[in-house]
Amino acid sequence: MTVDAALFQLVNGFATRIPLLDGLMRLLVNDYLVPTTLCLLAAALWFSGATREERARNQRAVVSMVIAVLLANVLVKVCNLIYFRPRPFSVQEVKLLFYRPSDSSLPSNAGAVAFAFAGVGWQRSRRLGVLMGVLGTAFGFARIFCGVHYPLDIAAGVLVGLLSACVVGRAQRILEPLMAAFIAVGRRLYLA
Amino acid sequence: MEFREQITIGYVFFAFAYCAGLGFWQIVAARQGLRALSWMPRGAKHRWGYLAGSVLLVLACVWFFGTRTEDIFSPGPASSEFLFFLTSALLAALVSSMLLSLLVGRFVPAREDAPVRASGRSEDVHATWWKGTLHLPASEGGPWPAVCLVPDTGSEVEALGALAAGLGRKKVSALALDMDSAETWQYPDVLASIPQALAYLERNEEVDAERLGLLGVGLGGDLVIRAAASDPQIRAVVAIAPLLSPSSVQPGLDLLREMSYLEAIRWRRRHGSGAVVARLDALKHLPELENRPLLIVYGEEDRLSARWTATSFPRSVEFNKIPGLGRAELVRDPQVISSTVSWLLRHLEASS
Repeated sequence: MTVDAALFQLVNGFATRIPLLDGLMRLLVNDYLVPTTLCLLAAALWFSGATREERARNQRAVVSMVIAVLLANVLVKVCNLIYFRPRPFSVQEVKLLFYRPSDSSLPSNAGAVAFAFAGVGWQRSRRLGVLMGVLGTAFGFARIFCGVHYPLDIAAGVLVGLLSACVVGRAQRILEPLMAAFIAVGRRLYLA
Repeated sequence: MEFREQITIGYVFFAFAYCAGLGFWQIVAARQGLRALSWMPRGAKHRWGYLAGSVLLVLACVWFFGTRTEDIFSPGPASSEFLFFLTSALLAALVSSMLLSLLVGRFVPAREDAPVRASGRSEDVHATWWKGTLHLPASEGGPWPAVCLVPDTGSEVEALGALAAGLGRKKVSALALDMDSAETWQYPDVLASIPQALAYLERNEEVDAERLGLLGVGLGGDLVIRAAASDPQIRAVVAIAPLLSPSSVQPGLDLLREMSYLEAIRWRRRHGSGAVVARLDALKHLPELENRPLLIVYGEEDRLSARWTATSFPRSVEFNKIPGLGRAELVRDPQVISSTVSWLLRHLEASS
């Protein structure tokens, strides 16, 4: 048995033992709670900032988050075209607390998206990065706990997300016209 | 799972995101002081906004995550569809919040909007080129000092009622100019309005022509500085939240801290790109006031004029930043009215 499978069994082994923990994990694992929270945090960042300049920096970070998430999604799709890894419940007995997704297990799309947010969040503000990172980690852990991902899938997803954030962070100069256009439109609508 | 079922789940998620969005925008409005989004009446404490927002957010989560488990644990909208539903729900909630805020602003009076108690006589004045309302003290014993009040562009003459009443109580006449229409602010025609109003005051037997002052709000503040610069007869000038620079009329989120979305659109239309502010160029004309007293008042929460501090002006200018107040509240705040009236009275009396 690989380390990955052993780790998966260790974490998934706790499922169905403690109803409260199962409830918490089912709350975290679904496709809505953590992604919605991350999007709301990004929306809140768009409006925050004491001065126009600080707000413009935050708004650039939000546009970067959107681009990083799109890039992470593209990278995950490309990986899926190259390599297909079956989900844990397809190859072994698991305690499944979620529906059966049919796409490739590696890399985890959930991990990639959450850490694309967290990566850009960290570049803008350490506190925001940590908050988004904690949400992403909880999301990833819940995916293993509920039997839909191996730990390696999540790790690969995290890597893809952080790589996307890093690429977007490095390409600020190239992306500047796009960001400026977004902010200009927002200002014309009194929303930036 | 059928595409149709996925779309149904999408609609359920949309309903959740819309309700959660309503709560989220209330929290954002409370945190950022965005009047255009807040459902709370003007002057209400921010904590009510936080409370309303949190309650809505929690209720939405309890409903969706507590009762729609079957939908949640079925394959739902994929990443792009998820973003589509979430973005449209948040935008719908944003528009709804703005509309509700507009209705609250229109139908729920703020605490400081209590009817102004008139303390004297008032009469409407219709001259050829301008109109306004002359407020005279109730008691006998004129002639009294007089102050010409100039409102902000787009604001009605009634907005100056509290200031006029405050002056009347201290036995100072007030002539509030009605400059509601955009035509009155056409440059250079606008420069003629104050000299004509002052000429009217001088002809009035109940007014002491030796003790004349000017008070302007917003763009009216810029205009009174400019008018006083070219008229040495003016004894004291007060500019409440003057714009002073075209950058103060730039569009953006800061406008929504001060006014509703519709008001922001109207305000922006009236100011355009700030051409009148630039042409009045009140800052450049400040030195021409020489040693005549000028008081500039800003609210600390006024983000449109946040960059102005005491050091931005010559030493002779008295600068007052009022904590906790935005631009809109300044002319209604009893403390600002009281201190401004006392300041005017002191300087008008001193010069006689």
